[in-house]
Amino acid sequence: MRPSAFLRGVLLAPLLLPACGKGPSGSGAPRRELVFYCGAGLRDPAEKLISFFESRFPVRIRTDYAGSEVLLSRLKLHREGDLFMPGDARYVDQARKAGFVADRKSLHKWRLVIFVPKGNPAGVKDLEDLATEKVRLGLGDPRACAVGKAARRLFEKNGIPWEKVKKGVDFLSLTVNELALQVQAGSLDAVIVWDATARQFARWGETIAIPPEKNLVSTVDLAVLSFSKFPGLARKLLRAAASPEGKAAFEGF
Amino acid sequence: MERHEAPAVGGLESRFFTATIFLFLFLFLGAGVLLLSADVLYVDMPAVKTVFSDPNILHALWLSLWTSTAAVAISLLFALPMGYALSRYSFPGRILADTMVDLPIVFPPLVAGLTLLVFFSQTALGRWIESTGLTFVFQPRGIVLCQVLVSASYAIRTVKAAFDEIDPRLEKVALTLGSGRWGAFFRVALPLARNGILAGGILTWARAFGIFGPLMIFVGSFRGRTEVLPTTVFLEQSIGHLEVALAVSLLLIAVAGGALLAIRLLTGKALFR
Repeated sequence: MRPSAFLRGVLLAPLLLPACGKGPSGSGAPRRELVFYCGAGLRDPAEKLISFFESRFPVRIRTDYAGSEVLLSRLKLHREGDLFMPGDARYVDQARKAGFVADRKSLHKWRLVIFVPKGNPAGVKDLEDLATEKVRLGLGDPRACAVGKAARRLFEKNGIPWEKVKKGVDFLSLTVNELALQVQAGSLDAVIVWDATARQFARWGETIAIPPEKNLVSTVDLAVLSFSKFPGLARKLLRAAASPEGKAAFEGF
Repeated sequence: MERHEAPAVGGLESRFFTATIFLFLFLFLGAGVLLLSADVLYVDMPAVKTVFSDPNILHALWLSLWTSTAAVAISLLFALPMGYALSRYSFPGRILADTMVDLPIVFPPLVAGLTLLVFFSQTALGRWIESTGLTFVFQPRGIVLCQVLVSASYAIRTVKAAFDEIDPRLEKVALTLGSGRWGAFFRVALPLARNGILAGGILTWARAFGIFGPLMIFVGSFRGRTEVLPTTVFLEQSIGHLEVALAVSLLLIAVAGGALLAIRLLTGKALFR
């Protein structure tokens, strides 16, 4: 027997404490605190979205940035929070199957690219080059983040068996950002990241595009969670995010 | 080192005193037992089976054990001469040296991982070392290096304190009796500092065994290659396997507790004077 109710209570207490309205927002309406689970690679547009939300609505957004799979696990464990934006809409599909999603809208599409340090020291040209021993390769951990799962599907789509790729991998990360960071540090010869991540780190590396017919497109969806304490407000935020003004957060990303 | 006998005088005051000090001992240990039993109660059989049947977790256990033991050996290799030098010699910059030894105790272990990564991939010397084939980045020997960097200070500090407590006259006597500098060190100072050295080794091992933050950056968390037991705990909880994470934690606690107890029993007497 396990005293799960008690133990979960103890584990979750710190997360549940602050979910109450705080102070008036100029106009007099109390600010509601909403919890936003967001894929770590989406930090830049998420921050823009949040300031847009907070300037328009009486809300304060508390964020939890992590790998998408990690976020999904947290949802399953804690069953609380209001908004969810993982790195790939497939995680929203999974959350919906579990009954966690009340509403969703697509905000962005992104593709995978190969990202290498300036000068491309290992002379990487395409995907096939990555599965060789001589390239120090870094990928997202498929157990933890969207970019890892997507990269795995990318290799499989191109007929390169995952087991073979895995043998040549030198570094597995929990988020896409750590992959770009290793390229910045020069400790890896190649990583597979989102196009937006590569643009963010363009000062420290070069992007090798993957031809569209070989590549995958991932959609970024924002979802309202079914356990939201402020479902009406959360839906308003979702609609605002999908409006042209909201989508502006992804411009140049 | 004999344990001091408690004063034999009885009386109410004496009993009150004993009760007070044991109350604190009981409270602390009781809290520990309570917390451990929360872990034990939450873990279920499938989680325990996963831990003992998953070759990756067993590999992580073995990797944790040998790397932290190697880290202790290397740390002590440095701690013995360094502790002696800091204890017995006054030299220009000694305060600075002393401070630098303490630094790794203070900074977050994560800093060590970042520093090593930047050193080996961004500096000419670091890149040269990696090019000789003695690679550390993403390799198990990188784990040992990381562990030495964050835990050697404990060994150096404790060994220095042990030498501080030994009367230098004893070595001088050995010298007058015809022993050389090396002989006085190995036959007089070292045996007398034995408990301090052991204590330093234990502290170093405990610290080395437990770190994972810097390892995530410097060597990664590769299953079956660079994943140590604390990394397993972190990864399993982050992907929602709370039961497995706790089962691995218990394994970690059991191994660490067993090792510490074994050292105490093997060395016979109480380690700390």
